[in-house]
Amino acid sequence: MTAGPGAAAAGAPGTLLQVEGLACHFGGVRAVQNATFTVSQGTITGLIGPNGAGKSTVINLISGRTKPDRGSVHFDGKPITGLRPHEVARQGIVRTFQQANVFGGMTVLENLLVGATPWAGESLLAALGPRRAWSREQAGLLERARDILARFGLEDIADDYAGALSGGQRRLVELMRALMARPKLLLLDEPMAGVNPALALSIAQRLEELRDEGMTMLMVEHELRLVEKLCDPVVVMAAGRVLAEGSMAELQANQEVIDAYLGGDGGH
Amino acid sequence: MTLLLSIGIFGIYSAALLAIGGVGFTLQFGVTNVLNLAFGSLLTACIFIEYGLTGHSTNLWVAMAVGAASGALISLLVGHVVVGAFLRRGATGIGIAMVTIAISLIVQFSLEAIQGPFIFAYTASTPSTFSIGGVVVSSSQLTVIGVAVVAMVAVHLLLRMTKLGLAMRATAADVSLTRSCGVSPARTRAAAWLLSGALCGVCGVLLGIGEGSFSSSTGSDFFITLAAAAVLGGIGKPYGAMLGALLIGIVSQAAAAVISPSYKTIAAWLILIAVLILRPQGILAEFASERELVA
Amino acid sequence: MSGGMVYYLSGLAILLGINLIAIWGLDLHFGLTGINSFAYIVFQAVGGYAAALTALKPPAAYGSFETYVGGFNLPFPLPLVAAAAAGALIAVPIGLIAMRRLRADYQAMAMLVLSLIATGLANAQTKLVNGPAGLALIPQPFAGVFTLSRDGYNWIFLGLTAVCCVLAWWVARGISRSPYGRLLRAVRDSESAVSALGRNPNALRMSVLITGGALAGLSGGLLVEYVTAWGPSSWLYPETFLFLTALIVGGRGNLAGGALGAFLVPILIVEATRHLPAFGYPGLIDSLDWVAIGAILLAFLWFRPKGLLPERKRVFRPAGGGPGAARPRAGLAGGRVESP
Repeated sequence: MTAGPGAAAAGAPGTLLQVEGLACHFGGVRAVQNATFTVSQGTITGLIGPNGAGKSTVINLISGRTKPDRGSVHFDGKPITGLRPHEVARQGIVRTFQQANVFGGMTVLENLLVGATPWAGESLLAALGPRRAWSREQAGLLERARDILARFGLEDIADDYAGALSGGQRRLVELMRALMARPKLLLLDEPMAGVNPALALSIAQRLEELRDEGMTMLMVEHELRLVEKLCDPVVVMAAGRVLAEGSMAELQANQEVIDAYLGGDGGH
Repeated sequence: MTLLLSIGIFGIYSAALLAIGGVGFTLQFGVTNVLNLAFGSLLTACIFIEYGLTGHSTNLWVAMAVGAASGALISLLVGHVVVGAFLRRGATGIGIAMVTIAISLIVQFSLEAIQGPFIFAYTASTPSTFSIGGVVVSSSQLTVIGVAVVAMVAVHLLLRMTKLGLAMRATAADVSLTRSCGVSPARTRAAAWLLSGALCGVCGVLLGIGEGSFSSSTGSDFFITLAAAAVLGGIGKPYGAMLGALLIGIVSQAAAAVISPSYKTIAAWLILIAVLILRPQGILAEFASERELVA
Repeated sequence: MSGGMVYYLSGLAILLGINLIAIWGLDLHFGLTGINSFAYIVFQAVGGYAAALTALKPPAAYGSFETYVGGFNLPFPLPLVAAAAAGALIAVPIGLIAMRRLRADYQAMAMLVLSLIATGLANAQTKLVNGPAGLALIPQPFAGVFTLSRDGYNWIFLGLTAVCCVLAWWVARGISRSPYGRLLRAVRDSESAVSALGRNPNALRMSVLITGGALAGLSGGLLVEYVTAWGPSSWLYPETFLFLTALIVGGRGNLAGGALGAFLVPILIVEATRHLPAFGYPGLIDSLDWVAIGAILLAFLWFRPKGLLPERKRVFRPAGGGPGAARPRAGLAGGRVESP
C-alpha cells in the first residue's frame, strides 16, 4: 500500500515516527520484510519478539546504520529513509546500542559532553581560535551534565574512565549521554540486557519519569515483565515481519502473537 | 607474438614465486588472524641463512630444504612465540601490526648490518637455457615453476586429506570449530606458522636464485607484491592466493613489458590499493564481514 | 665551548625542532584520533618537495643537471607556506584511499602501500623531482639577505624553526584541549557512537588528517631548507616508524609526551650514535640504529605501551567553586584539571 509520502506522514495526530514497508536483507537472508508501525508522541513503544525477529535490524534501519531495500521512515512528518546515521541523529533521534557503547578512554563527564547536540564551538576553527569563544557554552554544557548525573545519583563517577565502569554503569552513561542531546525520540536497543534486576528497575523508573516529562521512546526489550510495566503500545515482530501492534493486553489475546512468541517458550 | 609469449612465460614464473610465498602468507593469516608485516624480512632472513650455511653455487634442492627448515623455525619463533605472547596479552589489530613492523625492522636491518651495503650473487649451479618459441628461459626458472606446482599440490593435499589440514580450514572459518577436528587450536596455529614459514623459506631461496642476487631488502621489496596476490585472491584463502598470484604475475609482467620495467612492482601495488578500496575481501571471499575486514 | 661544538648543538636544536613539529602532527593523527597513519612520511616528503620546487629556480638556471617541475624561486616565507599547504592537500587523496572502514591492520597495510607507491613514483618519474638522484642546491630562506658566517646563519635558522615550533605547539595544544579534540578522541574510541550523536566521523578524521598533514608538510619544508637537498632515499617508509616509535616511547595524546619522544628517539638515539667512533663499514651504525629503533619499539609495546608520559585524565573544575580553591581529584595519575 504505497500512499504518497505526505499522506503517510500525516497519519494520526501525535505520530512521531512512521515506519512503512521497511525491508532489508543480509547475504541472501531477508532480515526484515514489510515492517510497518508507528510510534506516537509521548509513549514508550515496545518492540518485542523472539531472537532473530529483526528487532535490532529495524533499529538499525531507522537510525541509518543499515540501508533498507524498500520502504520508508518518516520522522515528525519528514522522510528520513536512507539518511546516514549522523544525519538521522541530527533530526533529533538518538539511539543506544545493544552492547553499551561508551567512549572508554574518556571520563563520564567527557562522555556526556560529547552527547550534547552539535554546537559551533566544537569545530576545528573554534579549536584554533580563542578559548573564550567556546568556554562559556562548554561551562553551560558541563552544568547540564552534572545535573543529569545528580538526577541519576551518579555524581561519584563523574571523573572515572567510562571504560573502567561496570556493564550496568556503562549503560547508564550511554543513556545519560543520549539525554544530553534532548532528543525528540530515543531508540533503546535492549537497555536492560545483562543488567541486574535492581538496577533494571531503577532504570525503568528513570525512563518512566522521562516519558512523563514528554520524551518519546522506542524500546527493544526481551524482559516481558519490564515491557508490560513500561511500554504502551507494543509492536511484536517475528521472522522479520511485524505481527501486531497494540497494548500488552490486546497482544496477549492475539492468537498469532501467542503462537509466535507469547505462548510456547516466548514467555521468558 | 613473442611479446605475448614472453609475458605469458615470465608472468607464470613470477606467479610461481608469488604463489609459494602468497599461499604461505595467506594460510598463516587465515589460521592465526595475524597480518604478518614482517613476512618480507623473514623471506630475506631465509636467503641469508641458506647462503650462510651452504655458500653459493649450491644445489637447488639442498638450498630449498635449508630454506624451508630455517623459515619454519624463524616463523615459529616470530609468530608463535613473540606475536603469540602479545596476542595472549590481549593485543589487538594495530598493536599486533606494530609488533610485526618492529620485528621486520629488527630483522631487516640486522641483516643489513651483517651484509653491509653489498649485493650478493647467488646462483645454484650454472643453469642451462632453453628457447621456447623465441623466448629464452633458464632451467632454474622452469624449475621454480615446477616447484610451485608441486608445492601447490602438496598444500592442497594437506588441506583436503589430513586432519591437520581440516583443522586449519576449520580455524580459518571459525575458531570454535577447531576442537571438534581433534587438533588443539594452539597446535593448529603453531602448524600454520611452521608451514607458512617453510613456504616462505622456499620462496625466498627461489627468489634469490631466480634474481641471481640478493640484498637485505630483497624480501621486503617482494613482500607487498606477495601480499597483493594474497589480498587480491581473498585473504585467508590459499586457492585465492594461487589465483591472485597468477593474475598479478601476468599483469605486472605485462606492465613491465608495455610501460617500463620499473612499473612491474608499481602495477602490483596499485592493484593492491584498488582491491583494498573496492573489495577488501578479495575475489574468492564472499563478504567483507568475514574476518571483520571492514571495521 | 668550541665554535664547532656550538655549531653542532645549534644544528641539533634545529633538527629537534623539526622533529617536534612532525611528531606533534603525527600525534594528532595517531595519538588523538587513532588513525593508523603509516604513510606519515609521505606528508613530510610532499611538504619538502613543495618547498624545494617553489624555492628553486627553473632547471635551466642550474645548467639543467636536474629535471623537475616548478622552480618558481619564490622568497621566504612562501616555500614554507607551500610546504604546509602541500602536506594538507595530500591528505585528501591519502584519506580517500586509505581511511576507509577497514580493520586496523588492513588499514595500516593500505597506508604502507601508499608510502611505497609514492617512493616508487618519485623514483620512476624522473622528470617530476629528478628521480632517485633527488634535488640539491635548494635555496635557504634569508640567504643573501644577511651576510653571515655558517654559524651565524644557523642561529637565524634556529630562530625560524623556533617560531614554527611555537606555531605547531599552538595548533596542537588548541586542538587537544578543545571540544573538537574531544570529538577526535571520541572517534578514536567509538565511531558508531559518534555517528549516533550527530557527528560525521569521516569528516572529523579527514579534517585532522589535513591538519596533521599541514604540520608534517611544514616540518618537511623546514628540513629541506636546512639540509638543502631532498631525494627519495631521505623519506623511505621506515621513517614513519621513527616518528611512531618516538610517540610510543614518549607517550601519545599529549604534547609533553611527543616532545619527550622527539628528544629521545630521533635526537638522542640517532644523533648520539652518529658520534660513536666509526666501526665497521660506513653505514653500519645507521643499520644498527634501525635495529635499535625496532627493538625499542617492541620493548615499549610490551612493557610500556602507553609511553613514558601517558595521556592524562581530563578533569573539570567543579562548577560554582565552593569554599577554597578547587583541587584536582586524587586518583589515577593526578588528572589534568581543566577550567569548565
